[in-house]
Amino acid sequence: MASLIAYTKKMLIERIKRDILNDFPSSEFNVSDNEMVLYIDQASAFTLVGQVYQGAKVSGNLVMPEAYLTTYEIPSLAKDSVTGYWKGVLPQPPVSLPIGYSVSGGYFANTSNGAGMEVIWIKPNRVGRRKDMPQQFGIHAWIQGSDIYFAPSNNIPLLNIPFYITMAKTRTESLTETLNLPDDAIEMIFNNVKQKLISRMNMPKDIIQDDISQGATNITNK
Amino acid sequence: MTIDDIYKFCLDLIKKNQAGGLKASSFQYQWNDAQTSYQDDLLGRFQLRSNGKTGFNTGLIEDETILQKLSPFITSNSALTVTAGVSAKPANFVYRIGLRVGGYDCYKILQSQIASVNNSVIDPPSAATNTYYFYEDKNGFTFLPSTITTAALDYIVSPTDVVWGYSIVSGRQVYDSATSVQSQWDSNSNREITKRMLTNLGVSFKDADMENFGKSVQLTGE
Repeated sequence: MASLIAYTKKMLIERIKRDILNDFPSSEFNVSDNEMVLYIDQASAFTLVGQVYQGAKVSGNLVMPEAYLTTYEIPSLAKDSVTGYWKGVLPQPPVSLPIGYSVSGGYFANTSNGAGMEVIWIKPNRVGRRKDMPQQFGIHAWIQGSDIYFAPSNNIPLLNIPFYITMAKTRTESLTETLNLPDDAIEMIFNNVKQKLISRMNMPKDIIQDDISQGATNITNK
Repeated sequence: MTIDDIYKFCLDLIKKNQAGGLKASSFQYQWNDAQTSYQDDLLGRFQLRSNGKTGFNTGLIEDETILQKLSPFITSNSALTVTAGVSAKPANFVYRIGLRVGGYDCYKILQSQIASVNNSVIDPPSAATNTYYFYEDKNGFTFLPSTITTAALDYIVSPTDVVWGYSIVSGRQVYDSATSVQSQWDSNSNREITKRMLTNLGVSFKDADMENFGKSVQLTGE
């Protein structure tokens, strides 16, 4: 099989810097990698949601591109002693798409039993109503921010059973991990970040660090 | 081009002789003044440039011509000692062109930025993440974090003062290369510096033509 280049955020960061400066960045380029990755993550989420809704305009269906999806393991859940709900913490709050798209699925699994049934997702505002209705057998789950709650219909304990959740990932785990997005989304993210940085550089400023290499402005000295 | 050639060129330019017109000691004083002035011009005179907030350069513009002319004065210290976060500037230091810690960029900040850099949640000073900052004051460079012990500095030094060495032969000063200190500049710059020094000599001789010629050379290079 052909060996392809692995696109990483580090690579995207360097590419944006070199594109803006038309060269390797000098120490005068005052946007750090940590800062740049925040711009990229922001653009990724924005691009993802836009892409899904744009696709729906054409096809009539919301479709989440699979390249954004990642399955995380939430190793341990804690039971709230007051409500009796089980609670875990997600790696990030889901993007602003309906449940089923922002989060596409979740199940409990362990080595002795394998993957269990998918949990039944309910919207947080339907939790109260669902409790009063005849319940479908299974584990009901809902999300608030980056917290996920579980309510098993038969009240079985969920202690020490790892939960696996498949959801759209728009945040950075490591600068060197492979980009978790479709290649066609890179264009929009690249342009979005570049535009933000260029407008930032064109802001009048008191501090002009003119002693080192080409400026962090749009003026090329070389 | 030896310092003797430069001296003779100068005498020829002003049509004076060594005995009664321009003594070697005067020549040295004037030429050394002119060469530092020439270096300052190459480094970037703030008087000549707009000092607006929109990012016009007031300092060194690292284009190929300027960098090649300055290259005899570019030096580096890969083991600059840092004690309690402070490092004195090396002897003859004129201009910093690069500062790194452990191969990583050290970003220049001003005293007014110290608080916000120390409280930064994205890029706080940290040796663990190779995030380094420095600012300049009378003590030299002060680094953040202050735990670092060594840094690498690339900088421009001031030119060495030239000396037209001589021995006395038959009661006259005769050029002696062994006791002379040669110019570090390239030949073209030597000629230009010599012509630029006529501004000072014009004042000294009360000769407006000479002074105007020197000023013209400073503006146009010829």
